[in-house]
Amino acid sequence: MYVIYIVILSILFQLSAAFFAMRLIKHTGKQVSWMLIAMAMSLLALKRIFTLISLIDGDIIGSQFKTSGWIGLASSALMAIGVVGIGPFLRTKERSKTERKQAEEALHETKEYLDSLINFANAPIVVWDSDKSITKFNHAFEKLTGRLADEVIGQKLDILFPEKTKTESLYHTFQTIKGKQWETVEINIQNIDGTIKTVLWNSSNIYHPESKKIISTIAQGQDITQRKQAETELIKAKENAEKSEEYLNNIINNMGDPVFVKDDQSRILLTNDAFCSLFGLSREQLIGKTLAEDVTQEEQEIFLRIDKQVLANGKENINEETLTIREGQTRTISTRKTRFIDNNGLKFLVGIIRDITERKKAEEALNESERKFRDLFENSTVGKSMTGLDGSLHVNKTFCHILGYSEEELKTMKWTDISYSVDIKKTSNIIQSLLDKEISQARFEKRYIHKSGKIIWTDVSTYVQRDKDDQPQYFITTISDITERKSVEAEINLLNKELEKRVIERTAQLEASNKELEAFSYSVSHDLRAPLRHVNGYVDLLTKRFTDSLTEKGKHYLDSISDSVNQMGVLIDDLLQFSRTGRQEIKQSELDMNILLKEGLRMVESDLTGKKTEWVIATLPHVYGDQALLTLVWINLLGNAVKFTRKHEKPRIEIGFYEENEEFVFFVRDNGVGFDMLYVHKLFGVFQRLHSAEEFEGTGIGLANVKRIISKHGGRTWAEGELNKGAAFYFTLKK
Amino acid sequence: MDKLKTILLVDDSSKDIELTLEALGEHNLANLVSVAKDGVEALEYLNCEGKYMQRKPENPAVILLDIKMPRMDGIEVLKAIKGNSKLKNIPVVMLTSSREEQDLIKSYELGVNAYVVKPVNFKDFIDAVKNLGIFWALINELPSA
Repeated sequence: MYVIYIVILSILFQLSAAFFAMRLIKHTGKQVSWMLIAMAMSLLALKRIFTLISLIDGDIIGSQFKTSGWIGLASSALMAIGVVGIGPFLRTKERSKTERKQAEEALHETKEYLDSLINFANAPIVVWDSDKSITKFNHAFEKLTGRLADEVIGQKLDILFPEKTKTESLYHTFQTIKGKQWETVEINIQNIDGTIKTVLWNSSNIYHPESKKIISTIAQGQDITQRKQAETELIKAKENAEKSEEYLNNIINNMGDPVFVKDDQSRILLTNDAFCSLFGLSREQLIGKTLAEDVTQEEQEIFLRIDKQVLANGKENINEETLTIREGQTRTISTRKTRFIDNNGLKFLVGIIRDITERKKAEEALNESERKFRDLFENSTVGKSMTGLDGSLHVNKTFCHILGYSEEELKTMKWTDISYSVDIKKTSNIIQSLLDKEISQARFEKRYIHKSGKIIWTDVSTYVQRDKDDQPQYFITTISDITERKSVEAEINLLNKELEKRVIERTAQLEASNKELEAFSYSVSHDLRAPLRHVNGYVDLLTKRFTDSLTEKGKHYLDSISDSVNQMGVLIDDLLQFSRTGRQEIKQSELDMNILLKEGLRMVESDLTGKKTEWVIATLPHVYGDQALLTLVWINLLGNAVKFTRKHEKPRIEIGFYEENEEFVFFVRDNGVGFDMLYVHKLFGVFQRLHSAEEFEGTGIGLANVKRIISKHGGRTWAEGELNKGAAFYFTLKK
Repeated sequence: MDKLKTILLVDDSSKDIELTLEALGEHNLANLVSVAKDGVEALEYLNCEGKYMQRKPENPAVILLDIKMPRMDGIEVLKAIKGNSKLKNIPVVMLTSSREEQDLIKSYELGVNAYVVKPVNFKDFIDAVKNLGIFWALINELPSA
């Protein structure tokens, strides 16, 4: 069997020899030779393969090949080793010869390779020599600068940089040359279209292998213009964003209305100044909180409920609510809440609060005043109407009641429909005057027509209600029913007229009777006195001339006649005086009662027949009155006092006064014979006497005269007395 | 006694005339008295008319004039006298029963020289008339005619 293996091994050696022979083609370049050798090897291998097959089939016995087998194997092995051995030999031989060529080729290849690399690199690349002249300039750089490599190569490096940053860029660049390697700097590159590109710039030096001097420098850039722009824009955008945030904050803060933003848990995220000042809390105290502490439970519930609702359905909500802030103060606010969803889908609640406390108060005040006005209007006990400029009526109940119409009926009517036709023109004139501002309000009497047709007299006051632009809106009219008053007035007028007529008649009668009285008193004065005088004269002559012829009795008769005549003379004089007092006009002036009293005392002096009368006289006030008449009063009263104390042993007369209300009360009091109060009513009557003429002379006219004079002054007279004790006479005069 | 002038007494009442003359007679003045029974006669006397045509045209020393008289009363006479330039200087004394204020006022307005109310009491009357006669007829001086 091992024969088979030997054959197989031989085959393998022969095949590997063929293989290596082929391989040598590559190294020696002798194709044909080596191919022939390889073919020979292969043929030998083929022959052996046939032998192997025969062996396997048993066509030949191994033993037959024992020796030749071994020889074949050995030769095959030797062949293979030989061929393999030639290879290295050939290679070292070839190497020295091709190495240079190969190096040259390689160098060339490298250069080309590099050139391509440089040229087609995406990054702009530039190479310059030690003179700073550009030696390479790639497409990317062409694109970057807009210049072609042809025009740039050979030029100085400077041309790449814009004027403005040239110095700086050169500095950076040559720092590299001085040994600072791989420093990445931003360099501005000028494009011929005027734009400036920014390049992130790496450079490195290439040194001579032996002299170690810089032969050239390569710089590779990365066009970061866009990035740069983007960066600038980003910065700008950021700045803008910051600015706009600040701006927004400013806006929010400067808003007069409190503003807040809450998260979906109703926690405050953002507030403005107005919000803080509404609660009187700082931002720090508010941020993150759900609500301020002072807010009542009830209010919180409302706020949170609405927050939830708006966050859930996104519907804007405007709610008027009460807000309790510090110390239990309440404000009325109107809160507008809206939902905001950001890019991340987070929900926020944005709220704006308007403090409407004042407005609310004003509204309430307005409502209140409106209500009051309505109450006043509706429930007034006088008729009220608001009359439009078109004459339409809006009236209250009393107005309806006065005119007998219902409110609805009057709503369809105009004022002219219910006014008495005669009074319409007058009323229209007044309305015009009010509209023209000639008068600010008017009060007048006018007639309306009751539903029943009856005329109603009313007392009307009206004025124009104007708006803030001073334009007339309507008339506010108040009416009260004065029909009854009117009829009473008419009656009174009638009565007055009648009275006047009667007074005139009466006055005429009085005047007539006064005249008669005058004539009468004139007659009395003249005609009545004349016969008396004659009687007296002749009695006197008779007494004088015929005294011898007369008996004592005759003389007594003549004395009696004389007495009676004298008495009648006094009576006539007093009566005339009394009559004159009645007719006389009083002449008022300020009078010193003391002077008048003195005059009275002087007049009665002659009657004081040597008696020592005790006078008690007070100082009297000044009064208004008629001097002559009041003097007469004193004369009469003092005369009486003197007369009626004549028979007293110690006459005492007191004169004084006291004040009572608006009057002075004067009195004359004596301790004379007095009188019985039973007859006091007779004292001041004409010709009324309480004593006989024999006892006390007098005509009974004095006190009547006093009463008449005091009455004419608007005063009163009265007397007090007691028989044999004395009397007091009083009279009053206005202060 | 030639110098004594006359007193003109004007009164419609013969009783008053008699009593006045009695009073004046007590003082011997009665003979100087001329009497007129009313106003008309008084003016005839003063103007020397009618039955006084023959009278020596000489003004009396005083006129004692009653007021209430028939035909022409004392006030009218007074008015005529004071309105007449020849007569206006003659003193006129109203000697009357009337104490009426109006008569008084009227008389003084017309320029009366005195106003005397005849007292009812005769003694007083005599005194009054006597005083009048003495004063006006004997004491009082007048401008010469």
